[in-house]
Amino acid sequence: MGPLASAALAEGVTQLSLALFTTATTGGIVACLIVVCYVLAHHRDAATCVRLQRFLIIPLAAVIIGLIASTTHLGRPSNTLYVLMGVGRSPLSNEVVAVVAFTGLAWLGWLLSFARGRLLGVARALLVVSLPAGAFAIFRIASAYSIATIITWALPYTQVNLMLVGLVSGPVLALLLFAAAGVAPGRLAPLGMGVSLVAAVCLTVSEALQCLTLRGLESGLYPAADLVPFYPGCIAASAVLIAAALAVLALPLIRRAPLGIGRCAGATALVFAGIFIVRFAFYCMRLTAGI
Amino acid sequence: MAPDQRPQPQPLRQALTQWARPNVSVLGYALYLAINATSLWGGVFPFFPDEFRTSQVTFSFVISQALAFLFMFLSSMASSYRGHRLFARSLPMGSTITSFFGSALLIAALYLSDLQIALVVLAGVCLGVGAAGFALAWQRYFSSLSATYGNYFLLLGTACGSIAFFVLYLVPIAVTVYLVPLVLVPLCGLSCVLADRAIDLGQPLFEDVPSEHPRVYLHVIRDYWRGAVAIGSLGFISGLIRAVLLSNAALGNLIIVFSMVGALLVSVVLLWIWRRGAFALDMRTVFLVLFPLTALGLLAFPFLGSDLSPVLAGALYAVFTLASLVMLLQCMQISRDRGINPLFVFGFFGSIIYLMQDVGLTLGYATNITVVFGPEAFLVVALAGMFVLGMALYLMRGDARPRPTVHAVEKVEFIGTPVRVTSRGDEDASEGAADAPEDAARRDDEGMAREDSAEVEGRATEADAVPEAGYFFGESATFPSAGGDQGSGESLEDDLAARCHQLQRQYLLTNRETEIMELFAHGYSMPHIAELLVVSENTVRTHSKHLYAKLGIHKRQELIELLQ
Repeated sequence: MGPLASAALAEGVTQLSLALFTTATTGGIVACLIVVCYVLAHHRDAATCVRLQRFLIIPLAAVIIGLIASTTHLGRPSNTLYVLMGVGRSPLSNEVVAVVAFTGLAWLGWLLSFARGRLLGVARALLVVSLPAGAFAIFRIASAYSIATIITWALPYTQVNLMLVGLVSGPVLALLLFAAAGVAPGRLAPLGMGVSLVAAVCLTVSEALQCLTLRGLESGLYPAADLVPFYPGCIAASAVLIAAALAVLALPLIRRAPLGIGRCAGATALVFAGIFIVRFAFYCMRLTAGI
Repeated sequence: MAPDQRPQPQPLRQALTQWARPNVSVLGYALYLAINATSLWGGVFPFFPDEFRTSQVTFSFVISQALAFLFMFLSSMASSYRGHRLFARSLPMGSTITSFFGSALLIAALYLSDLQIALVVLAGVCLGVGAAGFALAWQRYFSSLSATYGNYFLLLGTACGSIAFFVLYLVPIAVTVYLVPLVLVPLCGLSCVLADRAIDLGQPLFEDVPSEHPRVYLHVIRDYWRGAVAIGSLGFISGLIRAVLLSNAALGNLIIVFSMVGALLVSVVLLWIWRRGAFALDMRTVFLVLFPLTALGLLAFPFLGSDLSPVLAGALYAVFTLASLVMLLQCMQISRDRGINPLFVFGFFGSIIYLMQDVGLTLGYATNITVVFGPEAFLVVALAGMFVLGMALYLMRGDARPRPTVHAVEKVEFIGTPVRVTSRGDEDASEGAADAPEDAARRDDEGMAREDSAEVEGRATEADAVPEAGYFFGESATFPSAGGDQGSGESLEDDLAARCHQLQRQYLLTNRETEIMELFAHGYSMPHIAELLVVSENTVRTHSKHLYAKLGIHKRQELIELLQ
């Protein structure tokens, strides 16, 4: 591996926390949205709905862990609120505030799902509001890397990839939630698997196209492709891991057997690992325009 | 079926699966301890920047927080004595809200430097009220469980609390201060609310109206104030150390780490001992064991260099952590055995202990103002600490008068651990049913030997304690003489007493249940037993209900037959 690639790897390592953020948070948000939609759309018995609402803590934990990881670079508590001052002009601030807003709504909704009486209605209302907030947060996360000076990031693939990442891992995480809650997902299981599979294929294609595009990009000193010679390998490894995860989930579905919690947890771990690899490679390929 | 061949009343596999499963109360209590450690033991959150944690800020916070803590314990005692339910009911939510605002005010103090001290004082009050409220709420919950579950959850929660605290160090410091009020406090409050909902309020310890029979409560105070002062003396030393060393933020952090490591070690060691077999301990014995260690530490304190002094201070603080843990367990045992509201018992203990800690804090603060940090300050800590510790020892050992009560101090009993029982069950399964009676007999022998040795040790350290077996048998044992051991020897010869002890081991009965069983066997009526033990009839009824359930019987006649 050349010195350029080594430097790129070192750069990627410094951004590991952001790779974790984009992996865990996007998946967590999409999983929350899926489950909230399911709860709101189906006129199931109240106990099942409340049970699912209570297990929202699983994707919410993913969102919160990602959010915490993203703040490693802030340094001091007093820096945290400076993020708010950049709202509107800084894509990073917009992203953080959108994710925090969604997390706050979903978190309160989750907390109130343990309440009794009329507060359960408030919990439901908060979850309804969290739907557009979640979609907006995903959009903001995807837009945060559209920085014109970083030529390898300012590609349309960046936004598309980040949205697809959520669609790949979100349904799998949602199935884990159903398994943990002991609620049969019914038709949601094949539907979720289908969405995840299509998104995974699209993601791999998009990443491959991005890889090809890198060959035509260069700064004043070196071509972008030299930074990440390992990117094709990362894409392949990611695709294999995601395919393995989906296969693990598909087997019991084909046999019409229920999805076990261990199986779902394993599949979720595989999907997240696969996504994390390509997210890491993404941060390695940071190349600014000019010398 | 012969009594000896009765099956163990505790379903073994069920016990294991229940205990091994993640438990809301254990996780919630652990979270509470971790949050508490960020503020209570370290002065101001250790995750705040060092430049914020000036001497003035830290002391303003610590003093206001400690006073609020004391106020809450006094309120708990007063409200439970008067039978007010509102105080108990509002504890989980009230503590969550005040803890949230306390943490938020502390964050506000980071930004608003002009109002810094006022905000810090207010934050201290809110966090003190919140922390004490959570402590009371959790104590109430654990006391509502059976001794086995209550003790186990408390110990496990304490161990997990230390781990949770160290996990907080993995979180970027910029976020931890926000994470506490926004995520951890709500989670802790939620667990507390859920645990509170699970409390069976039909138990005598909750239904009791103390003002209707103050005698029971006066007896508790009379029996336990010395123990509370003894633990309070360790609290006094911890307060002194906290005030003297917290003028330096780095030393404060070290103390927190020591304190949490101490809590982890103590709870793990207790769980490990419990796993090996049933045992019992009480505050008095623990204090007598800790006294020489603490005294040695205090004497060495002024002579150690500045590198080692904080380490020793941390170790002394860990001693208070251990004593506090035993105090919590003892409070639970008192509540269950005597049918007394846990908020009253814990309020009583907490008031004495935290009052003494506040005095220590104030003295430490005064030392900080008048003496330069170093050997002179350490000398003040050592002298004041030794004096209070010595007075506490005098109270525990120096009172030669016979106790004006029939009660021995209840020991905290660790019985029926499912880990141990399950391993037995597995052995039984593998060795076959034919070997089971022999095995049981062998284990009984081992258990008896173990308990006998524990009993001997207990007597050696408790010269003035009421002989346990003796005081089952009426008035002569009420006021023990120097020959109390002789009475104990006579009672062991008694077939009935021996049979009772046998049943206690076999069915994992508590001391109080065994005591009531023996009094039943001697033909005492329920009101008479209540009178003898200075508890309410309701409490005796509850103990007998538990006793009957464990023995699998329904009538007193069956009990008599079982004992014959």
